[in-house]
Amino acid sequence: MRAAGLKHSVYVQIAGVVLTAPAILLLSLVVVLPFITAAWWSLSPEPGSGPTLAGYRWLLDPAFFDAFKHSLTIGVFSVLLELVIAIPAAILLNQAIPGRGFCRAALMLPWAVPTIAVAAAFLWLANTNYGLFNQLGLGLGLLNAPIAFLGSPALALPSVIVAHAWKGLPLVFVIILSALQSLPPELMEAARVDGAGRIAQFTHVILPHLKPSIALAAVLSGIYNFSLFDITFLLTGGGPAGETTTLPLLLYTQEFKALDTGRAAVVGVSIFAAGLMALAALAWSSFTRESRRT
Amino acid sequence: MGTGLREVPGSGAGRTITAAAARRRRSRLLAILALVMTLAILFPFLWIVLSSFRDPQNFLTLDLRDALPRSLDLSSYRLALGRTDLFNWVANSLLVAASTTVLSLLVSAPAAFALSRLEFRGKSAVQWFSMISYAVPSIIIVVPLFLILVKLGLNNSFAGLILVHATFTIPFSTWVLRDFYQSIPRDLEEAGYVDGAGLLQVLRHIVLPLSIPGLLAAGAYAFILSWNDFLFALVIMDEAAAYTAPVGVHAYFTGRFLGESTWAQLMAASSIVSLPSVLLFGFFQRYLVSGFLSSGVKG
Amino acid sequence: MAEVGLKGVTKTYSGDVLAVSDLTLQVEHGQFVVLLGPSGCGKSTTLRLIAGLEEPDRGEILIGGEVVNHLPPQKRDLAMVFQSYALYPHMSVAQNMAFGLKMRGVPTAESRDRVRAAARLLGLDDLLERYPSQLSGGQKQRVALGRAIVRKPAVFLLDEPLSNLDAQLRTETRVELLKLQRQLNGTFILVTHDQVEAMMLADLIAVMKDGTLQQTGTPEEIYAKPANLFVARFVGSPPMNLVPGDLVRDNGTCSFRGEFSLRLPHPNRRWRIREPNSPIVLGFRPEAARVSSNGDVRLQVELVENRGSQKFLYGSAKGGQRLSVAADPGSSVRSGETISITIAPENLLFFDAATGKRICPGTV
Repeated sequence: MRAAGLKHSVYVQIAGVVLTAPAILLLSLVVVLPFITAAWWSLSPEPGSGPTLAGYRWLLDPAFFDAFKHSLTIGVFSVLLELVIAIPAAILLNQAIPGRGFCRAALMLPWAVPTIAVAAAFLWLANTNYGLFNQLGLGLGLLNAPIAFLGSPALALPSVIVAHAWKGLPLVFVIILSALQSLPPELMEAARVDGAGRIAQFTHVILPHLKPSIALAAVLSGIYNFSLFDITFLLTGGGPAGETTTLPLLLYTQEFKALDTGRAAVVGVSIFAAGLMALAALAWSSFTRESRRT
Repeated sequence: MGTGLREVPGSGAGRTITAAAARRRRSRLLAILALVMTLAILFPFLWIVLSSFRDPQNFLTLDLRDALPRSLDLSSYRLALGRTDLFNWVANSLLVAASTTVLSLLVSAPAAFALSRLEFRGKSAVQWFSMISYAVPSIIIVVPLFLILVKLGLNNSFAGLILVHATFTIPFSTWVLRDFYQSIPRDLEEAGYVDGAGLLQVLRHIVLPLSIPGLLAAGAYAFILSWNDFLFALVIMDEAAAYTAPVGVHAYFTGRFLGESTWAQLMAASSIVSLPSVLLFGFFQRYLVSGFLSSGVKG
Repeated sequence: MAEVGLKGVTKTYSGDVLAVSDLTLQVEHGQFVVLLGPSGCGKSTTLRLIAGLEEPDRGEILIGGEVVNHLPPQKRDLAMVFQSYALYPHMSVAQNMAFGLKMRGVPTAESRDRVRAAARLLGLDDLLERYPSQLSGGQKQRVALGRAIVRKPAVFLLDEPLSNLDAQLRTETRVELLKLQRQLNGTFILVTHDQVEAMMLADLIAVMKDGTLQQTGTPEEIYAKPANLFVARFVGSPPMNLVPGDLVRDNGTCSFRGEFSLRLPHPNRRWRIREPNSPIVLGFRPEAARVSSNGDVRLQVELVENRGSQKFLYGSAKGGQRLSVAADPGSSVRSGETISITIAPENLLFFDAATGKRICPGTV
């Protein structure tokens, strides 16, 4: 039995396969096989009939379109909100200030808070009669009457977006903070020597350096929020009047309420395809940026 | 600097002191700003915890002065634990999350070691496979997965849920651990062989002790992921007695009229459910963050 | 007995990178052998092959007369000091030193005694409870040595053990290393790119380049009779003077014609020319030339290097050929001066310009 020195021997081949086999087996059984099954279901609307794309005609249905619109809105606006908070926060916490480590860790905390607690927090804060938002608004005279944040068709989606942004903030924050840490200090010093003020430093040095990371964070977090089920499910269940029914919720209702497995599978494959396209767009844009530089 | 002759004695030093003081003042100001910002962002979570210590009899009040608890009142916790099956659900969650952690490490650590140390055919295929698995959103596979578990007789069983949770942690844990193994110099292992140790002894006496921080990070990640999971626990576990904490809390409060004491219970229950994940995150955040950086977060 | 032999050993990495090619080398028991060469010459791979950390593609490796090709490192009776020291960071100095004994099943009491003895020998007594991160570079180096010597192995392998030390410490440690080897009467094989280190430590130097052995010999042989141009250039500071040209016979005497001409008047030797006008390279050490009032070659001095015990004059001859010459420490030659130098004919070396091999014109 040897590990050292036998790089290309049979032993290493066997060891490599044996050591990774359990991981591959589990992933095949729990992720890949179910995914292939879902893809197959989306192609066979009726048991026994051959594979057909007919099921995908349903993509033109208003119900699907609305759900897509809601998912996309959540994906885009939650990411914008995350970026607006994460970029200044990361710049601030990249300075040498006391308590920096604590603040960095604390901004990562939402990742660890269970979704059920996130939902409870926002349900309670946004409660129509007793929630803090309404109490503050009424108490400070900003509101005349309490607002049903999660119950009104106009405000339900924005409220859901805020909850998604809160839960997704750590991912964006950590990507941007690490990009800032990789910014060579000499670059900032050179800019200062060249006479750049704080705003010029930000627009001409920091922002261009951050651009690829912002794109990466936006796409990753956007895909994640686009395809997330549980926050919306727990906060509104898709209501009011379907105003927050996202694609994952549509899949859930098709599966468990309408008992239409084929349609549910069509929705599932669409969610995956949309994510894949966003990733491809990211890869393409970073590829063209690279080639423009050389 | 050759300007000493023209300067009034002491003025140079004086200027340095004021500059340093200004810098100190600025950094203190920024620190306060950072703290305020952090508290504001954490507020939704802090608000649950604060609310959980309120008096449940006067929970719903329109008086802002009552919004903050006057004292640490534990009645909400007593109610939450007394009127619901929360004890039982938390015990279920502990069992599932702890087993998930062990299984996840047992599978990920050997795979990560192979990926970092062995040049075998199919290595890049393994990496691609796990990356693609990582990119599949949970909602797509939950129903077919449930049917597969039914066929295996693993639906409505902790074993089935543990298997699913552990599998979802594999790609991330494997990456984190592979990066970690790569940071251990190979010289150390070779020194071990020359010192007379065989492969197993090198693993036990050299690799294992050095990879503890990596194992802690991967383990904490697996525990938190399993503990926090809602969707799979909701679909796989049928019986109320076998609910995990998040599903139990959801089942208990859904459709119930939310009166004063129910809100109080919900806040207390949410705090209890959050506690293990938040504590674990607090202890291991340093290791976890470096893991996030190398592979991106997926909750 | 612990002689080490390599017979026709070849090792390639990942298919096509040739690391060691057809290497044959014999190391006797108790010998201090230095593998010398520039980085990437295969010297470290050779050491790893002996250690068993790599397996040769072809050829045989023998330790104590036995073929050990397929023995893993833990079954070979040898110790290795790594360039990075490779101290186990989670073990104290004492634990680091005892690890090899523990793995070989030495009883705890004996192990403790041997660690203490080795620590005393290396002056590590006060550091035994420290951890590697609390040690200075020199201390780490000694712990690495200590870890090797407690095991009392037949063969010690040292991979650039001094390269991470500062200059003064390196010189001190060389002396220590030499003393240690005499004391232990062990077989030492050391890898270095530092020719000064090699000259000082070695009983036998093996010079390598591009995976092939260039020459083996005592330091004196390597210095005085380099087998080829590579060894001639690599060993010695300042390097050997090398002048391309031809050997020409002329009225019964023989002379060198190149950038400058040199009569070769050695009375006892018949200079013979192999082929008419076959190009050669003439070589001589700076110490083989001396400043004289009426010498063979005129030299315009450009730089005077004072090494305290000796001076070296760097300059160019008439055709632009750069030369360096040793001078007394009391020499008053200054840069800018033109001097003439005499080269002792018995110290001249000749190399075949095409193959780079050293030739003896008298016998060829």
